[in-house]
Amino acid sequence: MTLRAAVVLEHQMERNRALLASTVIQSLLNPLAYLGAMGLGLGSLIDERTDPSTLGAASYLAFVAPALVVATTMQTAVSLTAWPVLGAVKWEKSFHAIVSTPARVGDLVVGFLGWLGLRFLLTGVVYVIVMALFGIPESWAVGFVPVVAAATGLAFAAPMAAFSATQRTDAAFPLILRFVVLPLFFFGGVFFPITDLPAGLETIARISPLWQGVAASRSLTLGGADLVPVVARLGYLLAFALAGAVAMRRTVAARIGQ
Amino acid sequence: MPGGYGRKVTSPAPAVVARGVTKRFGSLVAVDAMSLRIEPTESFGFLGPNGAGKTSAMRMIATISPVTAGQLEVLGRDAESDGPSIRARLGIVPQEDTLDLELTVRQNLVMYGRYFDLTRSEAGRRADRLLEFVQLDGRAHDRVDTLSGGMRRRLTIARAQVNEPEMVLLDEPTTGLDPQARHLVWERLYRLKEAGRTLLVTTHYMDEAEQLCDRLVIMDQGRIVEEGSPTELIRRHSTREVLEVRGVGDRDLDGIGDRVEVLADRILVYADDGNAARSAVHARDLAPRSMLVRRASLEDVFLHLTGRTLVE
Repeated sequence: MTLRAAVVLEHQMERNRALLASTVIQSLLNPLAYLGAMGLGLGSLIDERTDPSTLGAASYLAFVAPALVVATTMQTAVSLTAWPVLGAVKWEKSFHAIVSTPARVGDLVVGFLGWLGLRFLLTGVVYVIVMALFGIPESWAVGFVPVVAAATGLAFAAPMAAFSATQRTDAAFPLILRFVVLPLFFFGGVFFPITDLPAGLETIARISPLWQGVAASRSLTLGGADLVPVVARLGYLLAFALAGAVAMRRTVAARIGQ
Repeated sequence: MPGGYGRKVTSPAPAVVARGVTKRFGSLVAVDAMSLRIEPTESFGFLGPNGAGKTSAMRMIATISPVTAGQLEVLGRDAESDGPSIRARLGIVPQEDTLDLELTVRQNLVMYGRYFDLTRSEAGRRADRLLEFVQLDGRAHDRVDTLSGGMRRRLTIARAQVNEPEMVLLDEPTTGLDPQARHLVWERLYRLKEAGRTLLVTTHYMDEAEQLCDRLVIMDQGRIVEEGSPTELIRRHSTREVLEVRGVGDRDLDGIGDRVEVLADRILVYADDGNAARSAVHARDLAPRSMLVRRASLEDVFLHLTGRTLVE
């Protein structure tokens, strides 16, 4: 199984090779734009009026930056597993082609998600480098932020891919982006602490994989991270990813078997 | 390895053995208790109209779609439990080309070969040879979306050869192609047949079935309704020739030929001697709009068996 999953991963890399340059540039420009606008622009206003230490950070920029890497990974994860997965089972049928070889659906799932994980990891590395250029990290533990970003990405990518493989049309995708991804992005603890949310919403935010990723990334970047909570959060994220992968194996197999 | 002295050389396992194979989608029975046996190096066809269950049958044999009930052996192995090792020895040409539009023509073959444990260099060698075989060597580095429908079909056929399969499954290989492109595909498939590959073809074109198949089954509504070689089937279910008459009533033709079939736009008169039947029509002063004598075909067999035409 592992061997053919590796071929699936190789296949995904080959497909994206032409896009490699644009992916790298995008994952460089993205954090620069976000950190420039949100962190420096908005941040200087906020820092003038409030004491950033109430946020547990040296500046608003430092508060937002480690969360943004996780939040943008979430967005990338959902968009890469919406239309591309529907296309792979409905239009282009590239998943059908893969299982016409000795590869199994399980290989396909492992290879496909493995490729996404790798991609999230690389984006995370670029982000951490940019954060370092801004002088944000206060701990060497920031080196683990890409792992947290990848785990968060997979926690969204795997369930979303499982869902996309069941769809007849793409009608549901804009709704998910608008009513799940976007609210999480704004209210999931990226721009202000979730303790500022009304109690009901705070609970929702707290159980979302995004918040778990944000909290882990923030503590790894800003120092004072205890091992246990970080590992627990990673475990939480990977449990989502694993459940999603199991579901994806079922929905893709059901779709292809039709 | 061939057997030594005194040992019987065992014949290779049958390509396909199906016993009561059924495929259900909810309450719909797509394939209903199909039983058949296909020998190695045989060219075998599933002929029937759209919706007859041909594709479902093919996808079960390809071990892509699980069998709902019954027993299915492919290349001597159990389709349910040995999917990957069966697929390693199959070439699958699905109804819709599932080519990778993000890759070039050659990359499509190389990448596919990687799934069959070929090294990149070996896959590359085979890709170059296959592109020549399907006359696409001039397009090796073009993107797939620039190819015509016929070229994509040929590329899909080439892709299904990359693992040098023992059996090639072709689902509607020439549907949607213009006549010239069809003949080019047929010619390539004929060469595969000559090379000793087992071919399985589904089609709703009777001419394709006659061209490619040594033996075939006729399917209708999920069931196999008849089995035999094209000539056998024609002999069994039709006269040698058919007279097609347009512009007369069916009662006018009573007593001419063995029997008649009335279609919406014409009447088919079944007679071993079509020209004699035509003279008989002329003798009655019926003034038909047109008359045509032709050889009987599998279309006539299907019509006789089901009362319907293949392509409607």
